[in-house]
Amino acid sequence: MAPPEPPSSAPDEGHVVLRVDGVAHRVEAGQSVAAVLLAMGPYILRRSPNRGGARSAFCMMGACQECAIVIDGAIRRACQVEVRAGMEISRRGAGLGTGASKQGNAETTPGTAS
Amino acid sequence: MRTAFDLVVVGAGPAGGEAAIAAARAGLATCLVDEGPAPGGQVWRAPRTASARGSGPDADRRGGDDLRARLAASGATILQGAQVWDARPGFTLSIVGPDGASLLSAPRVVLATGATEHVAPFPGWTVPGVFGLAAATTLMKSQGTLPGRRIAVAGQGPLLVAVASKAIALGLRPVVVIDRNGIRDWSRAAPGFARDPAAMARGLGWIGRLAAARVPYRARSEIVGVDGTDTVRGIVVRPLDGGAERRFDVDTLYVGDGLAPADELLRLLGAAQESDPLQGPRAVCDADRRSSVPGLYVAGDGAGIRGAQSAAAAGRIAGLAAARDHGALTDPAFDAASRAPRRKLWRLARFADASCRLMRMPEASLDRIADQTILCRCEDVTAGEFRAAIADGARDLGQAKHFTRLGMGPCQGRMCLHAAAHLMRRETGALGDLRPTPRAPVRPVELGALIGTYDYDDIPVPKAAPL
Ligand SMILES: Cc1cc2nc3c(=O)[nH]c(=O)nc-3n(C[C@H](O)[C@H](O)[C@H](O)COP(=O)(O)OP(=O)(O)OC[C@H]3O[C@@H](n4cnc5c(N)ncnc54)[C@H](O)[C@@H]3O)c2cc1C
Ligand code: FES
Repeated sequence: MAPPEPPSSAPDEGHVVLRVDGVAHRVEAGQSVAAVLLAMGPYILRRSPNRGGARSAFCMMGACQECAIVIDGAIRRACQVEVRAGMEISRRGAGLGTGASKQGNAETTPGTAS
Repeated sequence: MRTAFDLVVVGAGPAGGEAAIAAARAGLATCLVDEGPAPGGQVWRAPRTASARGSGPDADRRGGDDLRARLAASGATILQGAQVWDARPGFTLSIVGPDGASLLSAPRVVLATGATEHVAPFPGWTVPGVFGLAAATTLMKSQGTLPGRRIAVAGQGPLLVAVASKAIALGLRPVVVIDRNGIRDWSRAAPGFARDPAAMARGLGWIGRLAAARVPYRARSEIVGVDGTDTVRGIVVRPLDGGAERRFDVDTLYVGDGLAPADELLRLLGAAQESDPLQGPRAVCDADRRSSVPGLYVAGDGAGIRGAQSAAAAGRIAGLAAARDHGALTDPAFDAASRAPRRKLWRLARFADASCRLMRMPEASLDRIADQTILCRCEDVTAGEFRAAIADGARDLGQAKHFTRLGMGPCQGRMCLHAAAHLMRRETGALGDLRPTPRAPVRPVELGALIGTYDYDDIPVPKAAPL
């Protein structure tokens, strides 16, 4: 997992500080929200509304909607949204979708090396 | 912002970019609209992070940088981060972008919307950690990273080899590469590839890098399924010609089964298409890229899969033709300017055919979709439920939609209708495209962008309604 704390609040051209499920992270600027979350791990972003299956980003080009999670209070496609300082991201989709935030994270998915 | 133009070009990939440059240079008030953060499209995607920019320019980056520089100097109005979600004849295009919703009008439109990727469903393709091959190229190009520690790469055609080789360059050696084609299929493609010597050299470089890294390669094989529910623990692979299945421990799978035209706007405007075994549903158009709808021009992969170089050439012809039809170019000037791109298209036809043949997914792989496999990811409809709907009398995809909700989720059938149409043809003997007519919004519009911000609790559970 990426080091969660402490985020530096010093202004820095190359990085932004945002919150994922309430936890602050300092991440490289210019990335999509989906890329940040995938690198951070676990991959799961939400659960499918009908059967509650675990889901993550899939197409990374805005077509599949699997990455549609709550970003700054609205359901948005994480692969199409660029990270911004102060952004609030929840790994939670529309409908029933609860993602990693409510999972307890027993299983870990890979991301960047731990 | 000005909203009436002589020409609107949708899509800023090689096709749309060249069309906009050609038309703007000829003097047309041209607007180029694209959903991405910068011009370039899929193949010439601009790097977005410092690490991606630092990775050293390759041929695709140079192609993109050149296009972006010429676009900036062309005088065309460029709207990035803007989706076209509706199109009316005449033409009026509804867009939603960083500044909210607006309308663009123009007597002429070039559609250069590119391609989407097909993935043949298999058990476990919805598990987090299974990603498209095209997704891998997007991540590597724009962000310079690829998630995963033990990755497998599967599918067929040039994109398969490109992704596997670029992963190695990022320091991520695939555990296994699974190719539906074999050495013989690749050799058969060689004469076609030789039509574009630079691309051929690049391809041989990729293969060389795979060989040097001794990446295990499974020829003529495909994924049977993924082991795991919330994470990928492994994949099971089967040889197409029979033989024992094999399991590989991986945590991430990149898989893709070829490209299909992103043809929603084309179909919404009622432009004719014809089925093509290599290019997918291909827009019917004349040699100057005029579609069957007056004033509507088509170029690039959205009109039939042909690859980046052909897309650029066709885009240039489309832009010139729009300028000519607008009265901004004389016939002799049009003929002279379109000669070079026409020659290029002709020279690359066999290259494109060879790539498409390798990319094409064998229909037998769709026939094998097991009943428990999820077909429609949005609504969790399985192939078994879909087959049961056909047994109960559903005779087209519209009826099957009512029976099962397949294709009614927010992706609007982009991920499932290809496979569903195939199963329907198999089970019923029906012929033709079978996809229901698209309706606006053709791109799932983020409601917040249209109606302002709203509370999470205000969101209706998205069932029928596209987001
Ligand atoms: C995800 C992906 C990755 C690929 N990677 C490679 C690669 O690495 N190498 C390679 O040789 N080929 C690659 N291809 C094949 C590649 O698509 C073509 O060779 C080439 O990019 C086609 O150019 P184009 O101009 O037709 O379309 P594209 O380059 O796809 O450009 C189309 C543009 O239109 C935009 N668009 C579409 N619909 C709308 C809309 N409604 N509103 C606003 N904008 C819209 C898209 O965002 C995109 O920017 C890839 C294809 C895909 C789908
Ligand atoms: S990953 Fe498919 S829409 Fe974002």
